[in-house]
Order: sequence, then C-alpha cells, then structure tokens
Amino acid sequence: MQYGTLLQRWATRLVVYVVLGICAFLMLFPFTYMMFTSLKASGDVFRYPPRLLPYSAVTRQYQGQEVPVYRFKIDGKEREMVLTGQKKGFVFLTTEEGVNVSAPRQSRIVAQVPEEEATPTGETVTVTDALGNSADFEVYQVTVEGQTQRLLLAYRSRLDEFIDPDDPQVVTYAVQRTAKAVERVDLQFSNYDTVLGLNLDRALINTALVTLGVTVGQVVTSVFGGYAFARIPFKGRDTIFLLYLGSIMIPFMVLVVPMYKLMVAIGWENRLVSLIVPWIFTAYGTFLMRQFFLTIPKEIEEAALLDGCSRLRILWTIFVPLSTPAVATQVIFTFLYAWNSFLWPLLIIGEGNEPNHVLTLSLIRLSNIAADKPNLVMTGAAIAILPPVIVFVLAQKYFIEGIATSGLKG
Amino acid sequence: MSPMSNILDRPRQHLDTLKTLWRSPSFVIDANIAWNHVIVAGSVMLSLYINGMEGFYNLGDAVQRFVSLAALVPAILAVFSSILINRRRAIGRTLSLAVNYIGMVLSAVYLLHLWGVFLGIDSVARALHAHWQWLLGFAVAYALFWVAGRLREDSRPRVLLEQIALGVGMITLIALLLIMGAVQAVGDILSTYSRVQTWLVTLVIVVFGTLGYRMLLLGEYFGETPDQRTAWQGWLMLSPNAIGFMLFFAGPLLLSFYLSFTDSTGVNPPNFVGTANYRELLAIQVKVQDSPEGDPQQALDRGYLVLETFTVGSHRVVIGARDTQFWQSLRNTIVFCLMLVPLSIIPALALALVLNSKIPGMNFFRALFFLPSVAAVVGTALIWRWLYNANIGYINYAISQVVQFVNDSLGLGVKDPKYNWLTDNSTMLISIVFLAAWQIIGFNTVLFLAGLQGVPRILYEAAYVDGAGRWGQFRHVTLPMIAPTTFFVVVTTIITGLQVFNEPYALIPQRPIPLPATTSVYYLYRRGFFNFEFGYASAVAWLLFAIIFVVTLIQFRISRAGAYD
Repeated sequence: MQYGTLLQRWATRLVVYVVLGICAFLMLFPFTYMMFTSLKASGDVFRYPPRLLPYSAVTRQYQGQEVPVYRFKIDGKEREMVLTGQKKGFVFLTTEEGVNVSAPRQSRIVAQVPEEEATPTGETVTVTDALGNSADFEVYQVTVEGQTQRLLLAYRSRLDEFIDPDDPQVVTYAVQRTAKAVERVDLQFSNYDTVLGLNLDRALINTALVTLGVTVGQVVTSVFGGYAFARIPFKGRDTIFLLYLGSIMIPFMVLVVPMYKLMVAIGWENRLVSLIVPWIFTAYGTFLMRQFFLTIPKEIEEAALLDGCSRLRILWTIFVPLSTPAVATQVIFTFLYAWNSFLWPLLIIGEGNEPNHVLTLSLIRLSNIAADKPNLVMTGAAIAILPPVIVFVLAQKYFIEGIATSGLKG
Repeated sequence: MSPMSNILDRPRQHLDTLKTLWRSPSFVIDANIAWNHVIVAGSVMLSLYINGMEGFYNLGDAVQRFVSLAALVPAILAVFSSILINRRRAIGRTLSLAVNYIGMVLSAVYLLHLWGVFLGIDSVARALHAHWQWLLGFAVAYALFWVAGRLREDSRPRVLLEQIALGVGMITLIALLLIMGAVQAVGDILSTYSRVQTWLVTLVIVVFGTLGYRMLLLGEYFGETPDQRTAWQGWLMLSPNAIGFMLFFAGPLLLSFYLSFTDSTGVNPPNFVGTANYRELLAIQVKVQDSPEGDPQQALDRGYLVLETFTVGSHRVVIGARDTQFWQSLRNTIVFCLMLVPLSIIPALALALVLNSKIPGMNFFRALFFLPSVAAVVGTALIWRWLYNANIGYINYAISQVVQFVNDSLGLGVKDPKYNWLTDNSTMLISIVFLAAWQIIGFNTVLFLAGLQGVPRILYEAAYVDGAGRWGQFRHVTLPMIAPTTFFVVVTTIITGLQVFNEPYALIPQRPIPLPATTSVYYLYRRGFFNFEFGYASAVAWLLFAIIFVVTLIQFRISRAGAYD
C-alpha cells in the first residue's frame, strides 16, 4: 500500500514536471529565439527551415586566401574541400522512361558526365508523355563503368570545381549553392557592440537614469503620503484618499494630450526631465505603502510620540525599516514600469530625437533601420529585456507577493 | 566698569533687543502681515501678466482666464490670513502656514528651473554616457558588499570588506562627479546669479521659509490643539504627493475634459464647439434599403460612410457612421478583448491549478511563466514580429511541420496555409492577441494562484468524502470558490485590453498601422499626434474612459454584492 502510493506520487510528479516543462518551453521559446538570434551572423538568419543555434562557415587557407570549406563524400570517404574557382560544363543524361518532357531539369538523371566525355550522336528522339506534350531530345553516347550507353540529354550545366587541399588529386564537381558547407557553432558577441553603437548605449544610460529618478522619487513621495493616509488623522483625509483611489481608475490616455501641452508650455518636450518629474507622484504607490503601514502596530508609534519623537523621526526610524518588503515591492514595480514605458516617451521625445532616446524608442528605431537584420534587432531586444528579467529573478519574492496582495498591473 | 566694556555692551544690548523682538509673537505676526501684502501684490501682478500673455501656449482664452484667476488665489488666501492672524485666530495661522509653505515649495521649484537643474538632466545623461566605465565602480562596491554579507557577522574580515566596499563606492561617486563636471555645474549655477531674477527668487524662498518657520513656532500662542497640530503634520507629509497630484493629474484632467469640447489643433488655439466632437464620433445611422443590390452609400445621408451592411430577407440594412474609423477601431478593440480573455485566462487557470499542487519546484515554474510579463512589450513584440515572419518565422514553420505530419500520417491533402500574419488584413488582429495573451498569462496565473490558495482544504476533503472525483472537485469546489478571483482577472484583462497600444505599435511594421489592426488608443494617437487634432483626440480618450468606467463600475458592483454572500 505504502509502496503503491509512493510510486503513484512520483508518477504524478513526473507528469506534472513534463507538462510544466513543455509549457515553460513554449512560453520561453521567444526568449530562447531572441538570445540565439542575437548571437547570429547576418548571413545566418534567413534560412529555411529555421534553426536556433548560430553557425558560421568554417574556412581554411587555400592559395593564400581564407575560403569556405565544403563537405563531400567521395568513394565512401568524408572530405573537406574548397572551391578552386574553375567551372566545368556537364551534361545530365536521362533515359526515355525517366525523361520529364515539360520540365527536363526534373528528369530522372542516370548519368552526369563532363561534356568532353560524352559524344553527341547527332540523333534526336521525340518523346511524348501521357498528357500529350512532346519534345525532341538529343542522344548522347557515354561510357559509364566500362559500359557504353546511349542516353538522352536532359540539360547541360556548368558545375563548380572543388578540390581537397590536403590531397590535390581529389577533385569533384558540384553546384556551390547546394553544396554542404562545413559550419560550426559560433557566437557573434560583436552584435552587441554593433547595436550598442547604434545609439543603444546612450539609450541604456538614459533609461537607467530615468528609471532611477522615477523609482527614488516615487518611493519617497509614497512613503510620506502613505504614512499620512495611514497614521495621521486629519479632517478631509479620507475624502482625499477616495479621490486618490478614484484617480487610479483613470487611464493615462485621458491625460496624454494636456500633459503633452503642459510639457510644451514649460519647455520640457524632448527632454529627459519630462520622463521623470511628472511620474514621481503615484497614487498606486501611496496606496500600497498606506496598506502596509496600516499593519504596523499603533502601540510602537504612540510610545514614541509620548517620548516626544517627531513624526519625521518616527517615519524614518520605525516605519521605513519595518516596511522593507513593501518598499522592495514598490521599487521593483516602479523599476519595471519606468524601464518598459513606451507611449509617453514616444510622444514627448519622439523617434527622431536620438540623444534623449530611452531603450524602447531606440529599439523601435533599430527595428526600422535594421529591418533586414533580425540578429541585430534581437540583440537590441535582449539589451532592453535582460535588465528587468535579472531584477525580477533577483527579487521575484517581493514581486509576486505584491501582485497577489494588491492585484497591481505591471 | 571700564569704558571699554561699556563700548562693547551697547551693541550687545541692541542685539539682545533685536533678538527679543524677533522672537516676539507680535513681531512675527506683523512681519507675516507685511509679507502677505507682498504676496498679494505679487499674485495680482502674476495674474495680470498671465492675462496679458500673447497666445498663451496655444491653450486659448478660456484656459488663460482660468489660470490668471487661479493666480489670484494666493492673494485671497493672504488677505484672509492677514485679517485672521491679526485677530489672533488659529485658522489664520494655518492659512498663513499653508501660503508660506506652498509659496516656498513653488519658488524652490522655480529656482531649480532657473538654475537649469531640470534641463540639466540631459547633460548628466550625456556625461554618464561618456564616462560609463566609472559606473563599474558601483558594481564592484556592490559585489564586495555581497561577499561581505556572506561572511560571519561582526567578524573582522566582514567589517573590513564592508569598509572597503563603502570606500570604493564613495571614491567612484566623487570621481564620477568630478569627471562629469560637477565643478563646472556648480559654476553654471552660480553664474545664474548674474540675473536679478535668481537673486529675487532665492530671497523670496528665504523669506517664505523664515516667516513660515517662525509662525510654526507660535503654536502655543495661537492656542493650537493637538488635533490641529496633527492636521498640519498630516498635510505636510501629504504635500509632495498632493502638489504633484494637482500639477500632473488634476490640472491635466480638467484641461483634457475642456479640450474635448473644443476644436484645438497643433496650430489653432481651442474654440469651444460644445459637443461637436462627441457628436461626430458617435453619429451613427441605420437605414434599410429595399433591395440588397445597388450602392449602399446611397441609403445614407451626406457625411455618413458605410460601416456595415447585412441582408435581412429581401432588404438590406445599412449602418453608417460619420467617423467610421473610430467605430472600426472600437470594434477591433472589443474583438481584441473578447479573444484575449479566453486565450489568456483559460491557460492561466490551468497553469495555476497545476502550480497549486504541493510539489517542490513550483515557485521556479511560476517565476518562469511570469517572465514574459516583466519584459518590455516593445522588445517582445519585435521578437514576435520575426516569429510571425511569413517565410522564415518559427510559427509558420511549426504550422508547416504539423500540416506535413498530418498529411503524411493520415494521407490527407491539407494545404499549408503560409499565413502572412502581420501584413494580411485578416490575421493582423489575432497576431496581436496571441502576443498580448502570451504576455499576460503569467500575470493572470499569479492572480489565480492567490485565489486558489484561499480555498480551504476542508472543502476538498468534504467533496472527496461525498464521492467527488477530480473533475467534480474542480467543478463544485474550485470554480465556485475562486469565482471572485476569476471575475477580477477577467475585468483587469478587459481593462488592459481596452488600452492596448504598445503591442500593435511594435508588432505591426507598417505606418500608419492599417485599419484592421488599429486599436482605439492607436486611433487616439493618430488623430492626436499625427494629425495634431488635440480636441478630437481628447474626446476619443473620454469616450474610451467612459467604457472603461462602465466596466469598472460593473466590477465594483458585482464584487460588492459578492462580498455579502
């Protein structure tokens, strides 16, 4: 009995892990794709079928030049060969049964012979297929493995010559485009340099500065406001608190136009300050701090007040140290909000004003100027996404508790 | 007494009388009354100045008059405060404190503006960019602190390491400030004192501050009760938030409401046009044509365009609107929400049910599923743009693989659809929905988990005893118990969905975004910031807000009702 339930328990666990593993793979696939693509070379991105890992062609020295290496299997032996730059004419021969009348290149090729080794007989054969299409085909005479055969010419083509530099007698012919290039996994970290050079370095600094300003400002105003709402009774306080709560409901888009006009009026448009100062006053944060301060026992504070402690001192020495979790929650929320914000920077800074770009703006611009370089776009995305992800991983406890208790929107 | 000490004594006596005078309540009151006269004069001058301004930032006469009247408020407060403190009334002192405090804060903000501190943030960013390597010093300091934190508490190496870390941080900070040109910045600030304005504002701050502080100390004299004392302390604590709230929320909100009734544009000052914007937006017309053939446009009045037609029997119903694009964008937004809700909530609930089991490692998975919610939408949308790519994207590749597998294994001839996700009118919107759902699932999962953890275990045991299976437990215990959570999740998802902007903007490459992918907020953005029709855009914003308000109200009502069950 005991044994059975244990087995059952482990089986359930296994199923749960497998299911969650698959879900996690699907959920995180875009990030995986981003990371791998951000490390790809530009020549490696437009492939079908797509592949995740970044590869680059293996090259070697041949006649004083670095040239790509291709892999061929000749007489059962794998050889790594290089292009010589020579081309050679080949005839592709088929039989009367294998010929494709309407598309000769798709005929079943039975022999592929250099032009000089095949002799035209001068004859032609007219082949008619089941659909009634018919065409003339030249007849060639070739010797394959000691046997002389008469075959039909499907098409001619010039093939590229490949040579094994270690064994120069071995030469083979193939189409370069379809030849199998030798590749190895190769991470192009230089993409990050390139993209940082495309104004993302400046944007990164700007974003960090803006985020720091907004976060510090919000925490300070929220701690003061939250304390007043939680602990200092005065006339009209609850009315103001209700107003505050109501203001949370009003979406930002209602304020967009007048805020823009206000910024223009005080000369803050296109300036980083417009991303900081209007955002350091937050009803959400104040609400969050108030809710936390309400849970701190009144007795501590009353004792301190009787001892003649000032309100400011009480706040600084009692409330702030006790409310580390709430402050941490708010810091993380504000960090993410400020770091990821887009609509307001788009309106007030705009896509054109590069020195004052934040990351989201630079990223949109990057997606326009590097429209055909997904590897660079993904690099930019990684630069914008990784810092919040790291912050989240380091502090996820506070984060998830914060959502679960207040239902805050990130 | 020597003559020497006599000579020294006299100024000291004068100084002492001055000190006594300075501390005497009547002097403080008189000084405040005198200063109130200055405030009245300044306030009236400011009001006249605003009233006489040309153009007034293109905000129109009404706003100009309003602001110039608002500038008179300090004057009125100062007059009342003068009268009341003269009569030694406590309320007068409160008024005087408020006037002095707000005056000091606003002048301080203005001084910072004169110093160039606000616009100087740009230069700080530029300098940081030029010397970013120094920022690594902070990283080193942090790393040292981190290492120190691992060591035994109060051990010598730990204390030493902490001191080193602090030193590294301080040195970095000082070096960074010097390199970034802090000295020059101080010089720049000092050089603003070549203007009279700067001296004046600094002086005003000092006077506001000193008089306010002196008045503050007169609590006993005015017979201040403990309640009154608490009250101003509360207001003081609330003041940073309250002032910001007025400047950056309440003020713009009023302005937005006013603008929505005007024809304000980028060039013209607003003229009051009544409800014209709203009428234009909401104008809709339903006409019936006798036959389903012919031009449906014929049925509509001038100025109306066809929004939708459908045939009923032998008649055709034609719905027309003046602003068809607004209705189209609204419809897109609603369709978006209707698709987003099931696509983000059903997977979230399923994940939450699995994650709620008592198996180790669930917190890890919960964090993994949450990752899409913390990443910038602009970044993730660009990733998805390439995943959606018609030729090399993984989504079409996956579909091809599935199609091929089905064809091979079942011998069917299903055609590979090869969607052009982001350029085809019929798939644009659903592409945005998938992205948004992916982004929000982790968030909703966490909300559901919180709800699930509130379900008492005993209910499951009771259900088990009554013979309910897993499905029965889910159906009859879990679902009803988490109904409030589900409702909350649905409503927040809808409210988020109604405001969707970043997702379409970053995902859809065309500009402007084609109509089938235009959401309401993007429409607002286009009218407001492409065409610079500020008045019209404000009206769009308020209509959207009205919709969100109704949704919120329903939520409020229902969750209230649920609370008393």
